[in-house]
Amino acid sequence: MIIQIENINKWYDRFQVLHDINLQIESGELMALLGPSGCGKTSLLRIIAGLEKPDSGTIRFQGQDMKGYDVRNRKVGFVFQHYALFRHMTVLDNVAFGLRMKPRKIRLSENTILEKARYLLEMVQLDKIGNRYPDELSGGQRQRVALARALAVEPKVLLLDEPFGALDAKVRRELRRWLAKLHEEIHLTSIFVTHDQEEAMEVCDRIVIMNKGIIEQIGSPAEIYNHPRNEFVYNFLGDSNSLSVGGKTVNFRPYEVSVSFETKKGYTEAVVLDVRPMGAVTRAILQPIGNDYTIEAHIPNMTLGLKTLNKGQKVYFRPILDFEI
Amino acid sequence: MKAASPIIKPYYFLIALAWVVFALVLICPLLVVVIEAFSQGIKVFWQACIEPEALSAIKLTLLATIIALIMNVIFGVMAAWCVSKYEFIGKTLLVTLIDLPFSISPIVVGLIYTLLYGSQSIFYNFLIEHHLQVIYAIPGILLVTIFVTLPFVARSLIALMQEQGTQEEEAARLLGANGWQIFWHVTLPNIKWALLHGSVMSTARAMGEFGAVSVVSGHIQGLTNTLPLHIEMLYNEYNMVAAFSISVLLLLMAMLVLVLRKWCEKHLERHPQQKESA
Amino acid sequence: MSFVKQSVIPGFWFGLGYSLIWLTLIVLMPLIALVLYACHIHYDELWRILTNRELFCALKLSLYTAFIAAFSVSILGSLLAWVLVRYRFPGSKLMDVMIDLPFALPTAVAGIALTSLYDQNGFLGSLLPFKVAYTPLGIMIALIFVTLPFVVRTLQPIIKGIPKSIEEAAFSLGANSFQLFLYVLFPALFPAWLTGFSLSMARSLGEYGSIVFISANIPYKTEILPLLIVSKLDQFDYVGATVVSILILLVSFAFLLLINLIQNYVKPNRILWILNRFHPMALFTKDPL
Repeated sequence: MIIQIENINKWYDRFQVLHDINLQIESGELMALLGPSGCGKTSLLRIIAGLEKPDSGTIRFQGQDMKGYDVRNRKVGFVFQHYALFRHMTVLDNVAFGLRMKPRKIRLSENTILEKARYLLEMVQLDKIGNRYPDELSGGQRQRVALARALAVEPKVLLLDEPFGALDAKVRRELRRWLAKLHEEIHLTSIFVTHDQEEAMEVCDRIVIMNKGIIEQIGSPAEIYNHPRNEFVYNFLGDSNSLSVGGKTVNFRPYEVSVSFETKKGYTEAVVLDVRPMGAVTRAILQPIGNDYTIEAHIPNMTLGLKTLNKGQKVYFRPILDFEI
Repeated sequence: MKAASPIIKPYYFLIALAWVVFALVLICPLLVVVIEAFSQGIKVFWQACIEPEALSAIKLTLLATIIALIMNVIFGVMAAWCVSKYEFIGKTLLVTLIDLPFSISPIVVGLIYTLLYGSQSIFYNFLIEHHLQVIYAIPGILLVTIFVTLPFVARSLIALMQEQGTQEEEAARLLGANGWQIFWHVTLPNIKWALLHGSVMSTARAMGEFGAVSVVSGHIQGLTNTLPLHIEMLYNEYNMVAAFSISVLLLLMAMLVLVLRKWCEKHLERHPQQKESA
Repeated sequence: MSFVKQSVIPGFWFGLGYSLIWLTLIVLMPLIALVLYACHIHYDELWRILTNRELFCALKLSLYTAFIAAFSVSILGSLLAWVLVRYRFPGSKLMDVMIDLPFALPTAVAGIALTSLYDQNGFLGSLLPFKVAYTPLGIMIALIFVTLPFVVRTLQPIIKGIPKSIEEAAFSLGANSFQLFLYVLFPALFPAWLTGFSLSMARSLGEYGSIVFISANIPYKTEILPLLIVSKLDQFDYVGATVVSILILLVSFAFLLLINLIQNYVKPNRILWILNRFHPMALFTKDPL
């Protein structure tokens, strides 16, 4: 299902959280709304779901204006940040809830409902713990129950609000790979909100970068990373250094630094403040002489002479930038 | 305490002092009630409890308690629902209004109801014409009992429901539940202990209310005497044993209330918010 | 801005409508009746009632018994709350449950129990060299009994919020027990303590059931304001009763307002600010701090 978002504005009292948002989500696409906290991404998600009303603008599902459509009739699956599982119901009952709430005329028989709920639990690999209560589950398990519950009512759109926000780093990595795989299998139009650029990069087809209620850039992960439209996007997507060269400020990533023990043309003299091994690279903190800011450099471990790099040493560095090569 | 901290020693004299205060202030009055009630044996105690006037007082007290409880539960759920699930202008005012009955002296409650429905009232002629007696009759007792117990259920519920937030209800809505289904399947199971807690408190207060009821009841034996009023009457007739016998009944009720209340509070504590545990 | 923030959860207007109608019927209408009735009272009559010596005695008695009782109960209550939160000892569970007894026990039962306990022939009254029942002292004891849970239940969560490690930290930084109390515990507990005090004061001013028996209702001597209302009602003096009622309401609301002010303005850091400038420790030790 195609979702069109047209000229959405939203105010909270006198504070405008969304400025004229225009966006189209293609059918079957997995899209991330990425941005720092307070950028309006969650408000946009809630407006798409129908949990909140925009002050102006239109949301269209498959070309149809959703205005006046109650949340219940929008056919959206929503996974809350803290999952909002019904804590007095077992996992199985949580998943079956949506099916049981249907009007009697179109409700499935209890056995079919249970069968379906069990099937969904199998899909999220939780079929063994259907009788447990949410309190007895780990964060990752709760997350998957919330997902199964949302999918049970066969939504046309899946909305996820910071789905991995409350999990620890390792579980988070596992789960997002799993989510990407799941999306590949069921191919449901999905939007998810996150403030973690790594997460967005890894999971999504397209990313929408938001800041202060406006969209900064829309594009595939590669497009956005390689061609950031502005400084905000550039800085938001990863650690960056900035250096003024010949009166012009250049931005570059820590791995885009060339370090040398001898002075060469275009290199800047600096003192090494700190050297730390970080796995595949070694991180060096450099301070250009006569300045108080520092430059972070990630040097590949295979670089010659790296072992002799020491704190307090004088080195020369230069940003490796596309236009200079 | 499990492992006492080496540098903080419990002050045993504080504990001893606490026990003395506790015994003097709380235990002694309790013992007096029991000792006086059984001072002439169980038979006299039982006699005092089953005499017709005592029985009619028990009946009236139960009637007032149950009606007040039903009304408070309905009101409490309604009020807590709008206070805790929505943001609106004047919410603080509404909460203050709900709490108001707690800060009004029971005697004043009796008086204001007397002014509203009694011989001084502008409705008095209307009420007389339609044979509706409120003051010095059962409706008056019911009304003041409802007034003094009104905040209990609402308060217990508001405290819990505000903490729980609205996410589960929103989730239920998104999954297609209607208003009644949300309340019945999602909200109610979450608030049942708070509801019971508020009901227990409301029951305790309703059974024991004395000041307000005493003003509007008119003390008609066998008709408008509640248990506390019956105790007062027996006491003023120097029928100590009977007065304390009835008191034992109310004391047992109070103990039951305390145990039930603690039980509810335990359950309320045992369910920490999902948010925190997530 | 609209009246209610939009939400997908249904039932707001139904709930609000029902609540408002019910509150109007049960709470507001009688109060309005009181105000309307009071408006008809002639100025001269009002003056006559207000300057009556019986009213003056009752007001004085009500205020000072309530004040002394609230003060004593806030000290006794602090002790019980502290011990209940910090220590496990034989009977602590029982004590924790029983603290609420005055909430649950009908006031009439408390009244007759306390009266016969402190009566001259009673279990405690016969041991004491002075009269307790039928004196202002008896009234105070009854008030202490009924308001004890207010203080304990107000303080308990606050004490629970002070972790034991705070005490250990204070000791490790070189504080002695007295300094610990004065600079760490007292500022943290004082606002709640004041709240408990005001709560029990407000409750005491309106208390009737537990007092009526132990005070014996002697005009000018042991007649507190609620008892005065009842005796006026017994004489069908509705005007007098109304005036006294409004007086009680005004004084109680003043105390509730005070509670609000306390919660807004009395904060631990402000108390500490004062303590750090006046060094009360200097009063007790020779060395200046």
